Amino acid sequence: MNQEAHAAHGGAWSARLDKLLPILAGAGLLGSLAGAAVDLRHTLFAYLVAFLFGLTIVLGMLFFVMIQHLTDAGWSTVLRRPAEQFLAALPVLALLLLPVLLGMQTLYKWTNESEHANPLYLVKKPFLNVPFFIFRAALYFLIWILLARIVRGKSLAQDASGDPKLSLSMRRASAPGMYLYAFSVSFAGIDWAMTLDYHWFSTMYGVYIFAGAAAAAMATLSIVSVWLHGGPLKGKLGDAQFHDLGKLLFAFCCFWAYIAFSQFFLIWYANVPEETGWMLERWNGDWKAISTLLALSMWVVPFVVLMPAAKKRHFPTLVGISSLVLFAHYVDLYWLVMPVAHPEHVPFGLLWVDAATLCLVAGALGIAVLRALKAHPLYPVNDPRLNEALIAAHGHGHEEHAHPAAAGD
Amino acid sequence: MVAEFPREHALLHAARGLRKAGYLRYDVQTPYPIHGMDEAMGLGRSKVSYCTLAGALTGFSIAVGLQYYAQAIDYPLITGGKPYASWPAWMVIMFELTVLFSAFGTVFGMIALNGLPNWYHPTLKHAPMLGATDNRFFMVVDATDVLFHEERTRALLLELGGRNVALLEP
Repeated sequence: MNQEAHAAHGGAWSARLDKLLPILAGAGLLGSLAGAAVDLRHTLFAYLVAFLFGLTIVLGMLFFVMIQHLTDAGWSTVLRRPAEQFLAALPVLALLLLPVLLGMQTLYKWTNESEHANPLYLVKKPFLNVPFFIFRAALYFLIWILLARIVRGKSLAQDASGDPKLSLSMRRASAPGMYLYAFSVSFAGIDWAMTLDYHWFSTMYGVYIFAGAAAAAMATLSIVSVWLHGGPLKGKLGDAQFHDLGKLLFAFCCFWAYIAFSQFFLIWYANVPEETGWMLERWNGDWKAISTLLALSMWVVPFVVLMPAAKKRHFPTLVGISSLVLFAHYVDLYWLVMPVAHPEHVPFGLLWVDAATLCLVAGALGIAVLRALKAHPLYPVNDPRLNEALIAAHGHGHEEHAHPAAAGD
Repeated sequence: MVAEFPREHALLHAARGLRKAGYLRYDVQTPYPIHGMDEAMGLGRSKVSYCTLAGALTGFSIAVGLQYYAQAIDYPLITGGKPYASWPAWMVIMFELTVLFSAFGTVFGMIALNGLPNWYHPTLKHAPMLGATDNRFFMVVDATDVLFHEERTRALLLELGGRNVALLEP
């Protein structure tokens, strides 16, 4: 089996991406530099959106991998590997954070001297100061890279050794890991996005970021799985797995809607000026259109389209909705970050800068993930639960398959 | 008419055989759910999800109607400086009633589709049938099936491997 999995790597399944991703990253870099020359402030904000987009997808994958270990899931064994390989991009993300830290003075108003006499700043100063901010950033990445080393490293080690104890130790690490994950993701979201407008606060912000991350990761994993299913993973995945991915995507879109509405609802209902200002900013002028677009693309359309069971395993629908959710997730982060830089109008004229920064981040992450995918077997070849996953892939009992023709035995 | 089968595979085979022969009104009684029986009997997709959807739409409409009528028509009252018809405030009730009526639709739809409550069935008087809750597998062909014929159905069941074939009193 090991050889078979390795043999797949000789194939041309990744040839197009091998060429495309460096071009994407290079073009993104050039575009970003051009953007920085034209409007440095906007480019930094656009870059922050792109960085958060890449980061949340990778963090969503970390959550997926750990939850599979925690629940000792068998169905997802094959899918776990592509998700694990996304974690190989975490060191790249740590590097990609540098421009954000270098541009702090532009991005985060609270770093400016002019704000330091503000009573609201003075109250938050023990938390919101540059050294602690940088220390926390390092701590988050330390936690994530450590968790990734456990759930990815041991899984790769199991490919060679086949030691079932590794599965057990990954499960044991995932339980405390989930606590570390929850706190680090919440605080990272608060640090890097919420403090852009440091007067405003929402206790739901952390889980809001997580909800978007989980939905975006499910969307990415669905697309990657359909892509690999059409190539080197053929025969290793079945309807049951795609149906489950569709269900998870559906569920996390609903979870996002639930959290997003709850956040809005409490602010709307209480009507306290220090909280409503943030929502009003996103409901004024053409930002209202972005807010509506966000609600439609992240929840309404996926909810309606993915509702029937058959649609969740219909590849064009699954890939289409996954792409829509990824688009919506970008809009979501744009909606969180960009009104701080452009409170009056949506900067449609500068969309090319946003696109360039996104290409840069997506290209860089894509190269890291693809390299990892090619360097190792595409599914955990010696995982003790592999058989369970393969049986689930080809099992019976799917009602859609009940067809009169099946009667002949 | 009831026939006993020694193993689940034999029962699956018999179910396929009856379906192939064109029977529509037959059922199996087994100690546990048999994997693949839905397909063997050609049951297709359950219609319970439509009951759930109907329940969801009913609950949603009731929630909207109730709150709109109460707060905007019958007793309009300004609360917290909000308009009379403030849909965000209704969302919680809309969500809860949608879920509640979906559950009603699912449970009662399932009961109705199963033909329950059913106070009497001829198999209740057939003593060996008790084994269906323990370790025995039964096939029951309803006499109301258009293809039902005492001799031919008995012969088919025997041919499919059935044992202890018996015609039950209605």
